[in-house]
Amino acid sequence: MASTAGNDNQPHDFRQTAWDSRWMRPPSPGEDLRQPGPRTPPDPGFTVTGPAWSLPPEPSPGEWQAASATSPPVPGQSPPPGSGPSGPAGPPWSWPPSPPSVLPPGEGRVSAGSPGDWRMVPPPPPPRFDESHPSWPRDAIAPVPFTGPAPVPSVLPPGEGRVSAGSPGDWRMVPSPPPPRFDEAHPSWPRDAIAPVPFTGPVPVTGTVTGSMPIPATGPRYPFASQATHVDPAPMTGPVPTAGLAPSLGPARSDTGPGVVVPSSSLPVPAERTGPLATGAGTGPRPAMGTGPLDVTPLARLGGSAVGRQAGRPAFQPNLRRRPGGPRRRSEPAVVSVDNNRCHLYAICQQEAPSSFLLADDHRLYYDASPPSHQMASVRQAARLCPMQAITLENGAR
Amino acid sequence: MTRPRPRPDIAHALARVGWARIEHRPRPHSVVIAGAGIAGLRAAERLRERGFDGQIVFVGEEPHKPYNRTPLSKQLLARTGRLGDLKLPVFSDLDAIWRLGTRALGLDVARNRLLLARGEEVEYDGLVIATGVEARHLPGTPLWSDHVWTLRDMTDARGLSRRLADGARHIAVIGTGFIGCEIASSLRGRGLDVTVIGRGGALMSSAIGKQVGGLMTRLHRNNQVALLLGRNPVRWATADSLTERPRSGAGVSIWLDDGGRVDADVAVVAVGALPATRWLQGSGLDVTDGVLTGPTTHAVYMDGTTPVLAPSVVAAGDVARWPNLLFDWTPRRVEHWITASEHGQAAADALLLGPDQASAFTPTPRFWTEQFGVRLQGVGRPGLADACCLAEGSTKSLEFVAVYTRQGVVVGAVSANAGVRLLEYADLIGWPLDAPTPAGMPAPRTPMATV
Repeated sequence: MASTAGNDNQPHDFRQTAWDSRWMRPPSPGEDLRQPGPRTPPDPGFTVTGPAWSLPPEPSPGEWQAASATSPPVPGQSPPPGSGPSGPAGPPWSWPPSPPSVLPPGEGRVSAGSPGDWRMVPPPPPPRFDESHPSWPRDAIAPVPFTGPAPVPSVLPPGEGRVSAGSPGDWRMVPSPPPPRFDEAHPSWPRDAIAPVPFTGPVPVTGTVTGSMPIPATGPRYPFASQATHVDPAPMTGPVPTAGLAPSLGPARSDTGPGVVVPSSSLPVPAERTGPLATGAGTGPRPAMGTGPLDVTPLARLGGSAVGRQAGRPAFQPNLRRRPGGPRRRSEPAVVSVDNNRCHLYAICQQEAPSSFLLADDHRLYYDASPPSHQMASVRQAARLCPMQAITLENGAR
Repeated sequence: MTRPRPRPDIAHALARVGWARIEHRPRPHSVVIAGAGIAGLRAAERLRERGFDGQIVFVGEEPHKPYNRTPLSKQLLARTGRLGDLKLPVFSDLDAIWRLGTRALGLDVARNRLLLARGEEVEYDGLVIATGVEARHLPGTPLWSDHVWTLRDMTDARGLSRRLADGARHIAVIGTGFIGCEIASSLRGRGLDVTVIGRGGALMSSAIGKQVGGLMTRLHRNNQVALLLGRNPVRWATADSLTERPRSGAGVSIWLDDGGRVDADVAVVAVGALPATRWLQGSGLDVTDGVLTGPTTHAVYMDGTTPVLAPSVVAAGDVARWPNLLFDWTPRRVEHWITASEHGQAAADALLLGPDQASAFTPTPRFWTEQFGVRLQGVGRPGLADACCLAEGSTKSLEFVAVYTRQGVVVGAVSANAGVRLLEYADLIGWPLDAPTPAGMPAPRTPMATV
C-alpha cells in the first residue's frame, strides 16, 4: 500500500552512506575525525532522545477497538512456506479441459475397430531362453514339445531370438519351433481353438428392467439419481442355514451319527511349534513334559512370558490403551483438530466430508485427524462451512 | 560468480526486447468483487484455487475485511464468545486489493466499469455482486436514536452491546425471525428482561412453519420471554427525542396497534433484510428483490427489451435471486450463511466457465439456530411447504425431525437437537413421500403422524 510512514519498505542504502561518509574520502585539512560527521548515523546506544517511559503508550483500546485492529482476519498474510508471494498455488486452470488422450487404434490392448471386431489380446510371448536356467537343457536344439496355443504375434522374428548357448562364445541359431499339434494339446484346451471366438461385447438387455422404479417421462421433476432414497434391504427371515455351510457339524443328536466325533479313537496330535520348551521333533505326539512339583503350566503356554514370544502380537491385548477412533491410520502428524468446546454437533462436516467426519449415535464426533491428501478439499470445505467454526486445520493444510 | 557478459550490442538488444515485452504485456485479468462479505470472500478463494492469476479487487462498504456475522446475534450478544470468533478461515493466498470503506455507486455493464465515489471507475473483466442485504426498517422507527438499534454488522453489534452495558434492564425486540429470536435467547441468557413484538402468530413461522414455530414459541414462553404476537408498533418515543416523550425512566416507549404500550430501555428492530441493490438502479440489471440471475448465477441484463445473461457479471449471496432447480424455476433469494459460501464458490466457477459451460447452482439450503440450548437446524426450503409432519422423535422432549412437503413432494426438513438424523432427510428433498414402493421392498408399516 501507499504507506509513507517511516519509509520502512526502502532498505537503507549502505553504499550511498558509505560513499558519502567521511570515512571513504580523505579527511579535509582542518577536519577533526573524532567529531561525528553530519551524515554519520547516530549510535542508538548513546543518542536516546528521551527516557524510555516517554514513549507513546501502547494503545489499549477496549474490546471493540481491538476488533478493528485484530479482526477481521487478514487472509493471505501468512502464506504457507511452500508457495511464493506471487501467483497462486496449483497449475493454471483452463477451460475447456483438453480431451483425454485416446490411444490410436491398434496400440491398445484391443484393436478398436467396429464393436463386433473385438480380437483377443495376444498372449505374452514365451520366456526367452535363459542360458543360466538350470532346467533348460544346454544342448537342446529342439525345444520342449510345445503344448500350448500358438503364440500368434511373436515379438522377435523367428530364427533371430531363440538362441541357445552351448558355451558363452558359441551362439547358434535355433530353428523355429515346430507348428503346434493340437492333437497333443492339453485336454482342457479346445481342439479347434485356432480361430478365436469373436467377442461381441455385452448383450443389450431388452424388455423392462425389473426391480427399479419406473421413471415417468412427464409429471413432477425428480432430482438427480444421486439423491435416491436409501432403503434397507429386507431382513433375512428363517433359520440360519448352517447345515449347508458345515454339514459335518450339524446339530448333535443323541445317537452317534456320522457327525459326532468318537473320542475313544486316538487323534493325531498336530505339530506343535518348535521352541525351547518343545522337545523332540515337530511331528508325532508330543512327549509328556515334566511340570515340576507344583504342577503348573509353564508360563510360555499362557502367553505370560516374553521369552519365547516370537510370533506377532495377539489379536486382542486388553492392556493396549484403545483409542476411541481406532489407531491412526497414518503416521503423519495431525492436521485436523476439532474444538470440543465449540462443536455443537450440527453435522455439517459430515455432510461435506463424510469420509473424514462421523457423528455417531453416541453424540460424539469422530474424525480423521490426518486425512489423505485427496480428501483435504472436502475437509477444507467442512472447515469453511462449520457453523461453529470448530474445525481447525494446521498451517493452512494445503 | 562472474558470468560471461554478452557483447554490448547484444546486451542492448536483449534489454530492448525485455522492455518491449514488458511494455506490450497484456493487461492481467481483473475480477472486481462488490461487497466484502462471506460470499465475496469465498468467490475470491475459489478463483485462486482454480488458478486465476489476475488481480482481485474487493470493494466493500464496511471498513473491515470479511468476518463471520453469525456470532453477532448469538455468542457475542450472549457474551459467551470473543472477538476472535469472528475470524474466517481462508485456505488460499488471496493476494487481493482491498478497497474497504468504499461504496460502489453504479455499474456500467456495457463498458465493464464499476462506478465509485468521486467519479472513479474500475474496469473489470468479471464482476461478482455480493453486496448482501441491509437490515430492514419499519416506517416511523427512530433508528437515529441511541435507544433503537438494528443488528446487521459489527458496528451495530458494537453499539448495541455498549448500550446494553449501560445499565439496560428491559429490551424490546421487534420481529420474530431468526435474528429476533436469537437476540431474545441471548439476552435472556444474560438475565435481561426481553419482550418480543411480532406480527405473526408464532415465532419464525414464515421460515419453519406454524407447527415447529409453535414449539419454539412455547420454548420462549417457558424461558420467560414476554411474547406480544400479532401486534405492530404504531408509535415510538425515545428519551433523546425532542418531540415525543417516553414514560419517565424508560429509554423507549412503543405503542402497539392494539392499544398497548411497551416501555423498554433499548429496542432492537429485527424485521428482516432488504437486498442492497440501490446502487444498481439504472444499470440494466433486474434488481426487483435482489439481482435476478439465471441458474448459473449469471446476472440477467436487459439489453433493450430482451433479457440476456451477462457473461461477465455474476451475483452471489443474499443479494442474488436465482432459480434453484432443485425445487423449481422460480427465482428466490436465500439468506443462509452456508448457502452464501457455496454461492460465492459457484459464482467464481461460473465466472470462469461462462454461461454456456457453467452448471446450474442447485444447493441444498442449510441453516441453523440455537435458542435456549435447542439446536434447531434445517435443510431445504421449509418456507415453501404447505404441509408439515413429524417424522421421528418427540416434540415434548424437543428432539425430533419434521418433514415439510409441498404438493406431496418433500421440500425441506427441520430437526431439533437431532442434527445427525437430518442427514437422511436432506437426501429426501425433491422426492414425493407417497412414491410407489419399488418391487421387492417392504412397504412402510406405519403412516407418519401429523403434528
